Amino acid sequence: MTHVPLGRGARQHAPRLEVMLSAGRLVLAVFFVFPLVWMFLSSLRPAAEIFQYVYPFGLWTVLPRHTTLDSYRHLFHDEPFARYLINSFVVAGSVAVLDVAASSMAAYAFARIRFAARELLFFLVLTVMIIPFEAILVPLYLIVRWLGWVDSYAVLIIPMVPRALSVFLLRQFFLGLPKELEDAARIDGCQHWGIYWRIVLPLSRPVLLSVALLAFQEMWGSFTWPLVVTNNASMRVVQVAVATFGQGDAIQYDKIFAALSLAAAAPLILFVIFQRYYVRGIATAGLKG
Amino acid sequence: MALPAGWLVRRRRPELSAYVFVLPAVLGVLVFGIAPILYAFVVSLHNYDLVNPHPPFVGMRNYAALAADPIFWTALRNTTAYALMLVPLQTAAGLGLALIVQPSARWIAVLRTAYFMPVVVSYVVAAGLWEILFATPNGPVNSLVALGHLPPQLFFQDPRQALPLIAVMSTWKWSGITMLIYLSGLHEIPLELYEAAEMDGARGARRFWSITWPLLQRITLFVVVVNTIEAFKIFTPVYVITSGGPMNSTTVLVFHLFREAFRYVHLGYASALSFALLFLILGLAAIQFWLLREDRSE
Repeated sequence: MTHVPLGRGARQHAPRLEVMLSAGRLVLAVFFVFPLVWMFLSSLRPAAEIFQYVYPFGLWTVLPRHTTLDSYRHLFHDEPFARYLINSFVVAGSVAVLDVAASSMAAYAFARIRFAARELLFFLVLTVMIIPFEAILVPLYLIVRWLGWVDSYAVLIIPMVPRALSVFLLRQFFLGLPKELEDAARIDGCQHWGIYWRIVLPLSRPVLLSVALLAFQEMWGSFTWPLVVTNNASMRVVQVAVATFGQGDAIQYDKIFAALSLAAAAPLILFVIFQRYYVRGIATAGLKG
Repeated sequence: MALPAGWLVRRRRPELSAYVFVLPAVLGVLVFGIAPILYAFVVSLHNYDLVNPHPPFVGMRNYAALAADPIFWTALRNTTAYALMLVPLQTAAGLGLALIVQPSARWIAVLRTAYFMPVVVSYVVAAGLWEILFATPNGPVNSLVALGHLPPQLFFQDPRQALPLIAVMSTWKWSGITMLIYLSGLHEIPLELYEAAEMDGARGARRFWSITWPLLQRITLFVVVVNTIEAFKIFTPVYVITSGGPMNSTTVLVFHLFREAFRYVHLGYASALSFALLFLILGLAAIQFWLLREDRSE
C-alpha cells in the first residue's frame, strides 16, 4: 500500500488496520453517493425497463440496459418543467443576491459602526435565527395573503430576505478585517459607504460567495413555503413540482427519476465547482454558532 | 480631555448612516420574523377559517383543544421518538465520518466530497429517492433483502418501520454537515497532545477517549442541540413519503400543524400549535445556551 501523508492528529496504523479503514471509507462513499448515481442512471432508462431488472438483484439493476432521453423530453415538452426550473432559478438567485446585499450592509454596520441600539438590533436578528420558520408559517401566510402576494415571485423571495445566518457570518468576517484599512480609507476622505463598497466588499469576495451559495442552495431546496403560498402551476418551483409529481395518476417512475435528477442537478453542479466556499461557510457557521 | 473640534459632527454622521445600513435587514426581520410571532398569538385566540371576515374570538379555547387533541399528543410522541433516533445516529455518523476522513490525503478529500453530496441535494429529492429505493414489494432494497433470503419488507408502509427509516434517511442526507463541524473541531486539537499521549503509550481507542472525545465535548453539545432542534422541525420527508401514515405513525408536530392549517383550514388551532412548537424549540435553544455557557466558565 502506498504511504499517504497524514493529517493533524492522525496516526499511523498497522497496515492491516489501514487497509480495513480504507475499505470502510469506500463502502461508505458508495452508501452516500450510489443512490444519487442510480437515480441519474435510472432517469436514462426507457419506461418499459425502469423496474424490469430491479428484482432479482443483478448488474442491470444498477446499469441501464438501454438509454434514452425520452423522460426528459416528456418533462420539457408535455409538462412545464422548464417553467418550474426557471422559477426555482429566479427565486433562489434573487434571494441569494438580495440576501448578500441586505445582510452585508447590516453586518457592516453591526461590525464596524458604533450606534445606539446596535446590540438590540443585532439581538433581534439573532432571535429570528432561533425562531423556527415552521412556527410562523401560519401567520406569515395570513400576512402575505392580506398583501395579495399569493402566487407571485414576491412571496417566494421577499420574506426570505435577510437570512439571519448570513448577517451573522458576515459580521463575524467583517470583525476580523484590520482596522488600519478603514483608517487609511478615511484619510482618503471615504465615508462609510465608500469604505463598505470600495474596501470591505472587495476584500470579502470569498465569504460573500459562501453566503450566496448557501442561500442559493437552501432556497433551491426550500419546499414548505412554496408549497403553502403557490397554487398556480406557473408559479410552482421545481421542488413542489417533484413532490406532487404524478399525484393521482399511475406512477411513472421513468419520469419521476428524470424529475428528481433535474431538481438535484443545479445545486450539485454548483457544489462541485465551488466546493471550497460551501465548506468554509458551513464550517464557520457550525463553529461560531 | 478636550475633544477635537468637529467631534460631534463627525460622530453623528456615521451614526445616521448606520441606520441606513441596517434598515433593509431589520425591516425584513421585523415584518417577516417578529410581527408574525405576535400575530400568531392573535390568530390563536380566534377561529380563523379564511372565509369569515370577522373570525370569532374564542379566548384560550384553541389551546384547550390542543391539550385535548389525541393526535397532538401522538405527534409530540412521534416527534420526540424521531429526535431520540435521529440525534444519536447523526451525531455518531458525523463524528465517525470526520474521524475516518481526517487524514489530508487527496483521495480522502474526494471521499469527504462524496459523503457530503446528499447534503447538497434537496430534502424533497432525498425523500423521493428513498421512497423509490424502499418501494414495496419489489423495490431495489427489497431486492437486496431477497439476496439475504429474507421476506420482502413493508418499509415506509409499516407503522413500526416508517419513522425509524425516515431517521435513517435524514442521517444519510445530513450527516455530511455534522462531519464538517466535527472536522473543524478535530483540527483545533493541538497536535502536541497526541504526541504526549503517544509517549505515554496511549493508542487507538484509549487515545480517542482520553483526548479526542473530551476535547470535542463543546462541539458535541452544539451538534446534539442543533440536531435536536432540526429533528423537532421535521416535515418534508413525512409530507413526501408517508403523509403522516401509516396510521399516524409518522404524524409529527409540523405535519400536524400543516394539515390542520392548510387542509382543514383550522388556522386558529394551528397557531396554538405553532406556539407549542415555538416554546419547545426556544426551550431547547435555552438549554443549548445554558450548557455552552456553563461549559465555558469551567
